[in-house]
Amino acid sequence: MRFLSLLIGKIILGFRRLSGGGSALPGLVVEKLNPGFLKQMLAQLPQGVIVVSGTNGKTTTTKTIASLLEGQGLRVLTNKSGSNFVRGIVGAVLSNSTLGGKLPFDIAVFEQDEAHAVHFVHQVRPRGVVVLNIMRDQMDRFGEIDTTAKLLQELSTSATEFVVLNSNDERVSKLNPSNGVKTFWFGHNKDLQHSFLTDDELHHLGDVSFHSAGEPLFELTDYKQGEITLNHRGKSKTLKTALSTSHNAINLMAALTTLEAALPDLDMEKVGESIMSLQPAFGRGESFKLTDGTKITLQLVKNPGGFTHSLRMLNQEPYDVIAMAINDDYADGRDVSWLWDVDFNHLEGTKTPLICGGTRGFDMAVRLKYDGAPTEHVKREIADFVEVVNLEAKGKSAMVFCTYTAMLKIRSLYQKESSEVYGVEV
Amino acid sequence: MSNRQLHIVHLYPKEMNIYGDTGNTLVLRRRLEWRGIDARVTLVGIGDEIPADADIIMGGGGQDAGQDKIQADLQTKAEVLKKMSDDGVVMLMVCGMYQLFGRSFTTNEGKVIKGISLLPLETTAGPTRFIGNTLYTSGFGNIVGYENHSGVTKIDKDAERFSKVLSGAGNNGEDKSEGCRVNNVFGTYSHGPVLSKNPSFADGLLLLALERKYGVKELEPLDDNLELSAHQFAMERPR
Repeated sequence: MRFLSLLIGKIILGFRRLSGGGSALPGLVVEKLNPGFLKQMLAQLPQGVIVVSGTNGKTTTTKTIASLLEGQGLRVLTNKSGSNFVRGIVGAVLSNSTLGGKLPFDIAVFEQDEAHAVHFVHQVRPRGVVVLNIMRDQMDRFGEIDTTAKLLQELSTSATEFVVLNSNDERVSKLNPSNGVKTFWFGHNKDLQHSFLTDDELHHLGDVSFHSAGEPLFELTDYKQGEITLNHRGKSKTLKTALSTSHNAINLMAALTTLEAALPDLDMEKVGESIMSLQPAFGRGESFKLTDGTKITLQLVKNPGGFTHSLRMLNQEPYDVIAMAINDDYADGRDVSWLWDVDFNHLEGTKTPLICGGTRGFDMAVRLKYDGAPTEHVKREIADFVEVVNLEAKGKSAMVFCTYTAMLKIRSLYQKESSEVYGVEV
Repeated sequence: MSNRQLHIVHLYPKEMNIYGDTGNTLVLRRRLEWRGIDARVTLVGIGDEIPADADIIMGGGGQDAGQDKIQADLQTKAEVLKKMSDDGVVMLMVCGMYQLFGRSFTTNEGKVIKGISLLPLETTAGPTRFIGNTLYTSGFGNIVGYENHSGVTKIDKDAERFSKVLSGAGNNGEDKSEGCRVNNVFGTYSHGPVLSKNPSFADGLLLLALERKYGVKELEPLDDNLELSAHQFAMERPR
């Protein structure tokens, strides 16, 4: 049955590629033909499967874990961002297997959102589970935060060997793995508390308290542009890396912890080399340098937690222009009410030029106005928005916060224009 | 105007805080401050008393878990709120709090949650979730917003509707009514937050409160270009 479903899946995949279609259909057909397909195929991987979940940072962390494992000489199967349906994973398995049914990889790392992760682990029990954080996402797409926590509990229970958890996120730290499964923590130290916040702090308008559930295997102790400092087994190390924004740096801690959990006899020298060559994921702290020397950094924002967190980064890393592009297409979330759960207070009276754009650029400008931050320009068309950003930031730097579809458009414009895509500035 | 002050009370900001509805309170506060009128904001949670000198009381939507937590506490505040309503205190209740200001809410499992009967309506959890951009027409002009609820709300025949549905589901997806008004108490399903893109509604509420307290008949106009642009473009977006 495996071979028949594989063959049919591959044939559909071939036709879909010729017609430019996506990867969902072959997955759907194969799932119907042979519900055990995924389990049989993934059972071939000698080092098993790792699932990465949580509200924010899945794409970066998955990509980083995969790169670090590859740096250790492993062949890594992973799913592309955005195809985290079980069907998307079936698609990834189909297109990467031989006609004879062999999956020539050592290990798989899959990004999964909370709901899809639970479907996936019903079919395949992962060796390791990584949970990054639990925050309120856009309510029109996902349910409620308590429901999310329950889903992630189910995911954690499914791990057969280890779980990697955020020591600073109270909801995550309460997740319990099954008996005999090891817990590894990652996190940051108390000094960096101002850079990171939990969902409750975000919504309670109240106290900021430092939560630490366990001693992190990799603990972030400092970050600045192009460089991070971490504590690993009592030793402090400073590393040059392009993953130096606060989001990327904490996700790197999660990735390093996962790496050590999965490969106990790690070659630390090779890890250091891999870190040097890591690049941020698509639009997540990704930088472009324009021919006139202007530096543009893109930061995807999807929910109040992520946006507030990203704004705190501005304390650590100042930019000459701050821009925000808010679209309300389906992939962004139609409802923009969540912008009012983001705290823009520290932009009050700022001298830094603020530019808003996208289909809901005016909503963004209104939001800033009520936190006392005046917007200089609002451009609904992304092309006009980018033009104004380039003009205002000419020869200097701009941080552009953008929702998903705005990010895709902005990114494609900069790819045409920039002389190089770069991450590290040494 | 410099000695004037309005006291705005926000109910259950901790439990009923999703969808950005606390933004409505910020909008009112700023629009007073920009006119040189003091705004005092008090957050009232479970076990806290509602300040007797409240001029405006606000409430928002929440998760089911949040609604469970506040029900009993809200009953202890029912009498005070009723007196304030009769006294003309301005209130704006959105979504979850709108439902609990009615007589009852019946869940999918048939459980009946008692409301505080300030508004003449009953809500039942329906089979479909109403989600999307909305456009209503009200005494304050057009209202743009966003709805996200599965409650089907039926209002008593002779009661005053807050607005009429031009696009969206409104109270129940059937009778084209949206929200409810009794005295100066307004209930609506509109998020957005609703006051952020509907400055005429925000000012309408402020004027009611200032008139009641100080006899003010007119508000100093503000520069609402950004708000009105956001309003205009919201009207053009698909559901």
